[in-house]
Amino acid sequence: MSAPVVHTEPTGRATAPDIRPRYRTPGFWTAVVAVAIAVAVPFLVSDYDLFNLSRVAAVAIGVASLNLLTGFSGQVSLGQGATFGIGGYAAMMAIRYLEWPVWVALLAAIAVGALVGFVIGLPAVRMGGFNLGLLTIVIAALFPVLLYRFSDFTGGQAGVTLAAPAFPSPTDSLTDAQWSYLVVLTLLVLTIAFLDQLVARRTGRALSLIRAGRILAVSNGVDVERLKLQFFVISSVLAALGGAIFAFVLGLVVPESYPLVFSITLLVASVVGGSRSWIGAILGAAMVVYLPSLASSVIPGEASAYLAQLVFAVVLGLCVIVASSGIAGAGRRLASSIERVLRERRATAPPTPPSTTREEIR
Amino acid sequence: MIEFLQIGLDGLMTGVVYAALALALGVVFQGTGMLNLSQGELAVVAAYIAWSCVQAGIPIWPAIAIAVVASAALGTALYQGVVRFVPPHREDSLMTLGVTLLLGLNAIISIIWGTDPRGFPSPFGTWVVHLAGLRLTSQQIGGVVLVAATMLVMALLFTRTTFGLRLRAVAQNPRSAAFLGLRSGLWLSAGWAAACAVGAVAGVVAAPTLGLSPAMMTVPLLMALAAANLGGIGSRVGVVVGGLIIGVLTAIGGRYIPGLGGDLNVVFAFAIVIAVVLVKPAGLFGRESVVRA
Repeated sequence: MSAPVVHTEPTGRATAPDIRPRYRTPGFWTAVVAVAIAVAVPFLVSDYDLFNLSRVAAVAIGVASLNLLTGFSGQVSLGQGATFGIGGYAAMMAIRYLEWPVWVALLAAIAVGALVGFVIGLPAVRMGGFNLGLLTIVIAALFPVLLYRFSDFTGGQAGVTLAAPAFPSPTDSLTDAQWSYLVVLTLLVLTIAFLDQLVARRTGRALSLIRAGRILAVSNGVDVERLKLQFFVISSVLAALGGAIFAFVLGLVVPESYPLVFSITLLVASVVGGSRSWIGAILGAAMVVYLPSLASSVIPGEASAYLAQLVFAVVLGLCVIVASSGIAGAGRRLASSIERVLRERRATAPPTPPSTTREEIR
Repeated sequence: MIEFLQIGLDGLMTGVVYAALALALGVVFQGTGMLNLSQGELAVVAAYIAWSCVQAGIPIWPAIAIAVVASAALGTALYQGVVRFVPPHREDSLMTLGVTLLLGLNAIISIIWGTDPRGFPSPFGTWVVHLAGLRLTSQQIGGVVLVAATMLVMALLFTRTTFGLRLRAVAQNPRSAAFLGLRSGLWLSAGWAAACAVGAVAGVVAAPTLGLSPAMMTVPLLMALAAANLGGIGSRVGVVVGGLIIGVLTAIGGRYIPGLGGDLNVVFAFAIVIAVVLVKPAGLFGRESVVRA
């Protein structure tokens, strides 16, 4: 966020969501249409595509959790992939060793995520920028090492596998893949609805105040560290939830899935999709899931994974330098400039606020 | 006791690699305000270039020289091509950029040279010195001498030449330097070149012991980050001393603290950093920066 944008926000149209009811915003209707299409999809495509789409939805929860942190709370974490993996391992081990039912295992993953978020968050909220990056990159680099190290417990290289599908279909009219996709989709929609409410309310406005200036926030009665810790914990909980769902979709967890590069890839997805947009999180997640298979259709063999990685790097670099609000931000800017052109046609329109102000609101 | 000394000495020998990498991190940070997370990958590139030259029939020392020069050129290219577009006050963007370079370089290395570990010939031969019960390999001695020589050159460059004076001027106060007619972009890219050259030496020294692979420098990079934090990233002496301390302490800790060892030594390194930073937030040699609210 550049300085002028941040300053227009609190004085500008901070109350806009209250003036315009949510059901009248274009974003709301876009979301409704998107969900309607997403619900129709399982009856149109193959089970293999559904498997991939379920992976996208699970990763999207992880990316959305990172968006909450980077886009709204202003903390760049390089270790979200590790939290995602911890959630996956917690859920799978709860099923495998404790023989808990799937939904209880999800709750276990959430509890572990909260614990991890609290432990990492306590030092993290006092840090910003580089030190936080340092702390989280160390966590991300160590997570796979620890998995190998305690292989008696984690299954080492072979990981932990599920004996039966996590979300078996309750009726004969739906295949397991269709049912599993619908469950994961529901969880994704619930997560995003929750996050959207979270940042739209009072806490969200307090966060914009923190981004505008810490001292400003403190003098307005915002307990900065407490709020940031809350968000860190919520973000970790959601990352762990996403990781658990991802593990259930795959039916296994292995250390190989969670190298340092995976944590970085989540950050790429967040930045490239647009770290202040929930649709951006889904776009980013789709990129994470589909780019490697696209790359392998270009070059066969091991090099394809690295080609995908190179594309991630190039795209991320472009986003950092050129378009800091990602694909979703670029789309929104396009939409608002079209809107501005239309309004100017209607002649005596008042000057529109800068496009980024809209972004700030929703 | 002999064992303790031997482990400490081995740690010191590993520490020089951390010190060299940390120095590279420090030089870039002072100039560009960027924590260059890709410094490890840059060192790997240098090691692979040297390896490729050796495969092509060039003797090892000229190959190392080629690698160092090529790394310096790569550093300049990265600064001019990518880094200069991100303003220095945007910490988060710079951090993301560091990650970008890490990701991209790692991918390029893996595509060009593959991920199978390769043997890297030691440029120092294979003799062993026994001294008062201690054992030193030629690789250890040669590595220390090479890194020490590089650091001496850097120290002289930074403190005794106009080139170094200008580099420091641009790093410390870009605006005044600009008023004095220094083109900051040019000098910052020179700083990147110097840092990458030092990193290249670290890569070449580390490669024979660690085995050449794309992930070779991941742990040394984390150690160097710890070293830079420990010594204070704003101080060139500090980062080098930090690297040596981290090398010695992690070697001793890995041997004598049960459960540690191998990659887990990184945990120990960061525990040291946290302990020190709690007492001296700017690191052992760093100066506290005061910000007016």
